[in-house]
Amino acid sequence: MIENKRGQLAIFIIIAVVIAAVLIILFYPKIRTIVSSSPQVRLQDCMEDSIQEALKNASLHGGSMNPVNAIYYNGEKIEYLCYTNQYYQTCSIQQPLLRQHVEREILQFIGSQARKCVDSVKADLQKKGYRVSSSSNDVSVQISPDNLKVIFPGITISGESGSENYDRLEIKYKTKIYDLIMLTTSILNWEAHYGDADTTTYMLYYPKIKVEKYKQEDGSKIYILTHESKDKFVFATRSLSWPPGYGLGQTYIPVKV
Amino acid sequence: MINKSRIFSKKAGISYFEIAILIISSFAFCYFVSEADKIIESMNDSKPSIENKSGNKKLIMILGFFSRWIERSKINLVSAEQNVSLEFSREAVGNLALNCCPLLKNNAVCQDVVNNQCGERCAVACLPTRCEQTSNCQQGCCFDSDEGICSNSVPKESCERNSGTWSSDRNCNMQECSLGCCVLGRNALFITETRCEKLSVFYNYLQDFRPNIRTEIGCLALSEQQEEGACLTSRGCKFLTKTDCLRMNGNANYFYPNSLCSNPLLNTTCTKQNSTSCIEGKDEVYWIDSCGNRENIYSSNREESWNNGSVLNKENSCSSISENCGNCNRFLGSICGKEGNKFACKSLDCKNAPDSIGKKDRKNGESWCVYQSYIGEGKDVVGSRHYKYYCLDGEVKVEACGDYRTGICVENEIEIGSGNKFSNSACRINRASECESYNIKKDGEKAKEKDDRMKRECLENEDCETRELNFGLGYKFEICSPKYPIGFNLNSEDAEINKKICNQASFKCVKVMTKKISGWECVSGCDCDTEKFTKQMNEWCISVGDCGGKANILGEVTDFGYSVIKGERISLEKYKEYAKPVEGQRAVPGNFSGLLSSKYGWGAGKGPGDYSLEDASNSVMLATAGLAGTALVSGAIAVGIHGGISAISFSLAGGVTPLLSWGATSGVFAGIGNAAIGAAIGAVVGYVVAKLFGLEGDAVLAVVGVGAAAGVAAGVLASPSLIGGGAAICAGPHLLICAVIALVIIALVAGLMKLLGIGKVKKINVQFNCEPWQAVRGGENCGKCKELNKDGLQPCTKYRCQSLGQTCQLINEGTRNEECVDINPNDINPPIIKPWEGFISEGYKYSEITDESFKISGNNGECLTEFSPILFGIITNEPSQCKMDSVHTENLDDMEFYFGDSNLYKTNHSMAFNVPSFDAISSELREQLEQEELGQMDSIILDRLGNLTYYLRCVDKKGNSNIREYSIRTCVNPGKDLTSPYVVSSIPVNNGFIPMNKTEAELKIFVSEPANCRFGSVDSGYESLMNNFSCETGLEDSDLYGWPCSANLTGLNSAENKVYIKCKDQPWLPDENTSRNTMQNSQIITIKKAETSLVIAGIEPNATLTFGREPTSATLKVYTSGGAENGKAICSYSFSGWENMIEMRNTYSSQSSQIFDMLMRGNYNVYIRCRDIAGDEATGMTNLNINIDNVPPRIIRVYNRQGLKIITNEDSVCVYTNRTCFYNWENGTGMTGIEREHNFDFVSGEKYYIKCKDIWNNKPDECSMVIRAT
Repeated sequence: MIENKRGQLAIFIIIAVVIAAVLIILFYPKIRTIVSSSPQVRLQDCMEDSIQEALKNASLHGGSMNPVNAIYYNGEKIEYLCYTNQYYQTCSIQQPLLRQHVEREILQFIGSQARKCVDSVKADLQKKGYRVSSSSNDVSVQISPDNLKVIFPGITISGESGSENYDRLEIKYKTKIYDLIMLTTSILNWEAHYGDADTTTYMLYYPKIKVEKYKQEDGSKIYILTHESKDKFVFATRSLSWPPGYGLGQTYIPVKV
Repeated sequence: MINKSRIFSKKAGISYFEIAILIISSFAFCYFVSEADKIIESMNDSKPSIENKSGNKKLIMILGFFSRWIERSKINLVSAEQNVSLEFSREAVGNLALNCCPLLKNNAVCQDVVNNQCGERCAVACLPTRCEQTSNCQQGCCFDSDEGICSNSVPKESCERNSGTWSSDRNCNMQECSLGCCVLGRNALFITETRCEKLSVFYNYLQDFRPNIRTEIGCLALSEQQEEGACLTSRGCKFLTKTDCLRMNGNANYFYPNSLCSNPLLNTTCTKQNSTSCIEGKDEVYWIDSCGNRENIYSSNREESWNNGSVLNKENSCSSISENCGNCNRFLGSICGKEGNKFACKSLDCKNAPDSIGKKDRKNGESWCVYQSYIGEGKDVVGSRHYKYYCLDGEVKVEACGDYRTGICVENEIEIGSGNKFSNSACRINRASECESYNIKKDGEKAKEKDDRMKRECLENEDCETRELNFGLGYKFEICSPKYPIGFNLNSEDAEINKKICNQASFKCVKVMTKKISGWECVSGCDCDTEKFTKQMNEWCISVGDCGGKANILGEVTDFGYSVIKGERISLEKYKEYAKPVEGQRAVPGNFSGLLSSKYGWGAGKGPGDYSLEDASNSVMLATAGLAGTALVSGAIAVGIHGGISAISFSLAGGVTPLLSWGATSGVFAGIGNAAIGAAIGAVVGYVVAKLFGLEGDAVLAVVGVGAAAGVAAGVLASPSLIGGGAAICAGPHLLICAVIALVIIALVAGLMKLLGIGKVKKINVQFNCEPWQAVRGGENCGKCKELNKDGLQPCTKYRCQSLGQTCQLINEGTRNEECVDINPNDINPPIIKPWEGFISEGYKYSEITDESFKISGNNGECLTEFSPILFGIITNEPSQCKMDSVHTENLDDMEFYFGDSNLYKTNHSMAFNVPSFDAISSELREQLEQEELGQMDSIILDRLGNLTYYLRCVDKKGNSNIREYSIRTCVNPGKDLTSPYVVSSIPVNNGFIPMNKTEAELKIFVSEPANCRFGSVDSGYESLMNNFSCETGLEDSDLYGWPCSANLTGLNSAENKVYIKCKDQPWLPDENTSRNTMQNSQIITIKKAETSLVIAGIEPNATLTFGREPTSATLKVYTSGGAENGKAICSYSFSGWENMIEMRNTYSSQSSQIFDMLMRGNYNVYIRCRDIAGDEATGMTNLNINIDNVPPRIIRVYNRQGLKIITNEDSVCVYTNRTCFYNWENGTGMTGIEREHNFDFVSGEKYYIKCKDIWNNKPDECSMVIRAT
């Protein structure tokens, strides 16, 4: 008798679990929608892949999406951030204010996606019966220590139960690119002044960052900075190059891209 | 008693004659015997063929030599091929017309390009000046006010376009860019104040900027010294820095410095030593308490490491690196890491790190050099590179030094106790390019001065070494050559330039032999035609660059890189060994203190250890070094040829005068005196006779000796006492007869010497040509490029790939699929040779063209004119190397000469003919050959000149060469030489300058054919010109531009001195011979002198300069006037003295300037030397006193007079607040006043916190003064 009752109990429990699971599966999207209805979170989801791709593109090509003044290395075009076409001369910095340059490049890359995401969030909210207004369509990108921020203009969401005002919507993406850019600027200063930079010293001072330098045949150098978080920044310089032989009759080299 | 009449009888005369014959015949007998031996020897060696007779072979050799001479002289002929001239002077570099392109098509900004490239490379219009002279492209400092970062060397337009703030100080020696230590919690960063402000806001720290910490390492050390302790908060205890605690709590009352949270006195809930862990930012293993706070460094001795709840610093913690102690140290090779589930010090050292040979354990942070071959002594092999390896965090990394050995790896070791050594290495620039330039003689420098200077400069340059070359008498000298030869781009595009570099080590060595009574004897250059000469020359050749006979990185030796004419080739087997590195071999860092001292004014220990070689003048100096070989050649030849004869002349001259001054009075002395005088007279007479017969060398001595003996005999005969009294036989009326007899004897001896050829001079011109090194033919070993990368850290490069074979090429450069492959694996066809249509001197044509030959003739089919250079060429259907010979050979490698004197692989090959006349050749051979060789010589010469044929073969890079010879035929007009000579070139050039204070100069001219030349200051006929040049007239004596003649000009007193020159050809003929051609019009060389001397009119600055930080920048300006070009001069400076002067950056004008951007405080003497084109020099000195004011102003007086008055010790501005000392400048209230006086209205009883800063922005960390006004 007791065994029969135990068996029944077990069956009831199993049925209950199954019903609960079915309910969850059926209603999960709605639950999720409730949980993630915050526009910030929606935008974060929407932009995540795009930001990641933009960061990767920019950081592996010297800060530009499509570098023109560049050299090929391992099949990739790496931009010259400090360059001279002469021999025996130190380079001149091609991208002063590098951080701002990278921000502009990333913004250009993610701009259209950002607008799409904003439009998508607005549309969703409007579908639910909310009124959405925003001050402008301007999006900006800010690289700061530890993260990259994409800043959307503020929106106001009004509905029957009241209105919610967001001064600005900010998405953060964790990255150490800021540190890498600052280190790059330091390296560029040395290249521009002395014609070279010592990688070992940098690594001893900043143990979290690995600095690799690869000298090319024409005197160009490829720098690869890798943070322990796996973030990378790659760029090229050409400074104080010595030609093969004695350089008689040579004061420049052909442009190579 | 002697019967005088019998002495002078007819019979007596016959006796005398017979005695003379006997004497002469004994010499003749010896001569015939020795010559008979030679004939027998030559008969045994020679084959019975006209080809091998000595005279014919000499003709062939002479004809072959012309080709080589002409190839070198083709610099004066129109050549379609060469774009780079040997005469690559400083002016040429300056006149390359670099224009500024603001934006290249590849988006590079502000780049100088050669003006004829502007259209092709520049996206916008080029500016007609260099970038540094324009406003938009001028480089300066770009300040990012948002980040607080300064970037140097930024073009103005680029900075402002990106919203930066630009200033003209290119090196950012400005206050905004001053770095100091910014404390952010536990971290300290060496950044600018603006950046510190930004980061402090970001991380929510109170700004703590320490401008007085001026080094990065000092700042990092500061981060280690942050006071830490227990910080009690409402949520418990946290182990923090004081700053962090302050931030958390708002005040420091609950901060217990140097206490752990587990300290029982604090009554916290945290229990000690709960676990161990690594801490971010720290190297060591730490104890962690139960609250998760860091405690002291782990030690198995718990009590000791707990230290009664107090902080135990690193120095006092356990010291052994073992599992019982967690006091790791990154710099000593360990760091905290997890092993299993335990935290311990993990070794960061590198075990079995690769080395040049084998492996070795290395410590963390250690760096060492890895070489691929033998290094130094000019023996680095082709394709090799230096590498710097380093061990970091347990991993071996590599930094390759500059490819083509433009960079070398230098290393030194330091002792770190217990016999252990720690290596430190770096890649630095290879200063090889300076070595050859030290060999160039400077204007006005004497030979000894030049040698001393060369040795000193060579030894001072760590990358150079002196090399002794010794080929026998007259050829012993030292030169400076590189230790680590720079590699070449082995591609054809740089081939001609490489050739010019290698040719610096080409050398002509002349072995001079004279015929003495005992036979031919070498008098100078005796080793020229031996292996010793070739070996020494090849060692020099390989040190210049990738030249000569040597090995590549695989140890494959080729000898295509040198040729030696009339000398011995050598075996290159031992060079294979140089492809292997040698254990323990290192390049030394070198002492740059001299360079830094003279260039930057740095004393020992001052300034950073970096340097940069800004001057491109090294390259310019080298450009003119192409003539260095020539200078050495001509100098050595002068010694070689004339040395022997000069010595004889000296002894002669020395001998005559003293003897003539003797006077004798007594009988015996009179006898001796007479004898001496007789000898002297005889010697002079003998000399005169010798000259009449054109005798030289031993022949002169012999005649003089005989003359002297005859004179003695006559003197003795004239002196009664020496013969035992009695009257002198030759005295009185018989003296004349005695003199006649003496003359007859002398003439007979002279005639005999002439017949025997005694005194003849024979020269063997041995030519060593240093050419670019050539890889083995084909591409069998291309694949080995990757195999040479044994440890994965030395990937294949273009240079290494090219060195492995002629057809090896690196493909897919810049991609992941880079590979060294044979680009012509299936090529089996030899090159096809054809005449180069369209490329032949005017008036000539190619005719009778077949697949195997062609002929060169005049447009009407006539033969070539003698001494008229003709340029022509051949083309091949693929890049090939071509060789030629005047006799048939079995294969290409047997052929003696490279076509066009070039061992390069190319498709267009050019060459010049300049064949001498029949008379010239005939005359030359008569001098060189022995008597029995002269027969049939003229007919052989005529036959040859009428039918000149050269045989040619070419080989492609794969090694396919023509089996059958290709022939080039021509003929030379056998008629009379009707062309007069002309002057090809001169040193100095026409309208050249000499220094103002000089009235003499050496003039050297080069003539188109052997000639005698004369000069004068008035234009007249050849015969009327009174001054003679000393000319080389041998057919093989031609130099780079022709046959050299030199003379010393005197009386050069005017501003313009004209020298009129005329030459007459065929110098082997007597002067009055009418078939000799004389120049109708004089060649005029004008030698100019400046009217005023060069002076330094002014130097700036010459005062004390004050700056706010160091290093700082200052510009030196030098003004020059007078001289040859109105003050235009090249000025050099030095901080260390009159040696080691460095050319100023902007010079070669009447205003020279140089920016010093690394000046530290101190008193400097700057030495300046300027030199103009005439060689005039002016020197000057200035004193530069650099004062650094980096101390904030002090308040020296405060008083109350209608408000609070403050006096500072220097001009400043001041602000105040009444809150705290810790405020930002911008938040203070400004005071009124100017310079040192400041005032503000105060409220009685209030406390005021005052800050003052000077014009250099020096301000105090806290406040200058706190004042309570009463």
